Amino acid sequence: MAAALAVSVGWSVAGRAQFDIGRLIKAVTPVSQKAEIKMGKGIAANLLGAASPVADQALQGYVNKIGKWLALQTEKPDLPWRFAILDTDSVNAFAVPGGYVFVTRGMLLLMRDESELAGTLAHEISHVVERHALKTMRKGNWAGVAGDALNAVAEGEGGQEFDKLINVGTEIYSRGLDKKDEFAADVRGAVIAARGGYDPYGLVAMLQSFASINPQDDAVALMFKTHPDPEERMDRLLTYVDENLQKYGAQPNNAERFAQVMRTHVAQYKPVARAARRTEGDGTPDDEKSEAIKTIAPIFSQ
Amino acid sequence: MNHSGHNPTAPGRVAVLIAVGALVVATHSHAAQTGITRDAIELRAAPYSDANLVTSLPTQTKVEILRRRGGWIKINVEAYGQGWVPLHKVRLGDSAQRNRSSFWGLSMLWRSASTGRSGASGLVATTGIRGMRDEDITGAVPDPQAVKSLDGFQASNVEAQAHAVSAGLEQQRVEYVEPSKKKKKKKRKKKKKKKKKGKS
Repeated sequence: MAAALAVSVGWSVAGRAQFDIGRLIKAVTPVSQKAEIKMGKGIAANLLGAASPVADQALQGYVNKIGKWLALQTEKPDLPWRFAILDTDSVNAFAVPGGYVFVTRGMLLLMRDESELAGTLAHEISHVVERHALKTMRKGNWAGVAGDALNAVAEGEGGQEFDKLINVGTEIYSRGLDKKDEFAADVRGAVIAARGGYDPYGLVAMLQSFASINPQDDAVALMFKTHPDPEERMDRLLTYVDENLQKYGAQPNNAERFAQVMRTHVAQYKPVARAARRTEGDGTPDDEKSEAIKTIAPIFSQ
Repeated sequence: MNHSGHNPTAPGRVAVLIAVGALVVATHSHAAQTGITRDAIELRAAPYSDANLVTSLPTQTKVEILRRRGGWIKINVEAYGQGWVPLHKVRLGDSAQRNRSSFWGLSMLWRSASTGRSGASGLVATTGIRGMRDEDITGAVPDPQAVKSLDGFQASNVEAQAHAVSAGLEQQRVEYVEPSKKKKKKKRKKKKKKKKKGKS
């Protein structure tokens, strides 16, 4: 199989060299959509191995309806879009090639209305549409690899080469994308939210929350490491939205519907089950949190 | 495995649900979020930059955030009363430093439970919580079954549209403007204006 791959790489390089030297240097044969989706599946499996989707049909359905609606406002409405809230306290969101978008429960808890959720999903959707993760891969370890070779590995699926590709793809989520692409996704995210009829300032409000969190807080460590400073993001995005999208600021933020669904979500929230799971790991801190809830509980049940 | 912990009718469980429900009310009813001004800013009577001036607020003024409308938030300031300021000029929390816990939802519940009001110091920032660190991601055991399970949550185009319409969302045609290009255009215009002025 490796031999067959080598042959196909050699052939494609030689073939192109005959008519387009510029393209050979850049090796920019686009990644096929089929390859993108297969790679995305592999990367998504790794991310979901780190944190499971919250087992709550109502919550996940809600997020998928909003996410799909926003995806329909883009140039790629037909990707197999899948959205999920991940069961972790960390504050973060992920865009995986092929249309997987994940938002953590910790981030959801920071949101104050649906336009903040919409802005967040739209930011991630924009990363997918613009293929920012693939771009980062092609700049890093896979810089020298021709697109055809990458496609052959990804579409072939399975095997060591494929695993390597997925691992490189997954590493991006611990290192981060190009900072420029993060700023671009903020702006495009606000545009997509406005197209979907939402108040585009929701994403600015989300960034306001980030810009208020103690950078030493473990829950934001990875997001802060992989993204530009939230205050700079907020200020830049606000400048754009004020200049270009101000009139959409009167569009709905659906605070009531969001609060309603959060109640559904939180009713499914299982601090007890989570505490039990903790005993498998190191975890005192989560238990402390459950303790806090237990301490509070009697006050509210009186 | 301890099944009693999952029994929804156990009194402790009910109490937890009530408490957590209260957390949501506290978090999402726009009740009393505290903030602090990042700069000296003008407090306006309405959410517009040319609205009547209520007063000028110095930097690091503690405020109470009442609600948001687009890029403006309505705030209450002790001794000055209520008014509107641009969203990004206020940091959440009560310190000039970024000191908020990522788990402020729970800390709000803690405060309101122990003091009956928000704003008092309560639960301190959580550290070492269960999360997704970079080593969790790079060292994760892949879970392809979980990826498949997402198919069960997916929304069709029709469902997505119905959900949007039911909340009064109206699709808009909005062009994406390249931020840098726009700036260049503006600069060019300014240059032209300058030239014209010079001629006259």
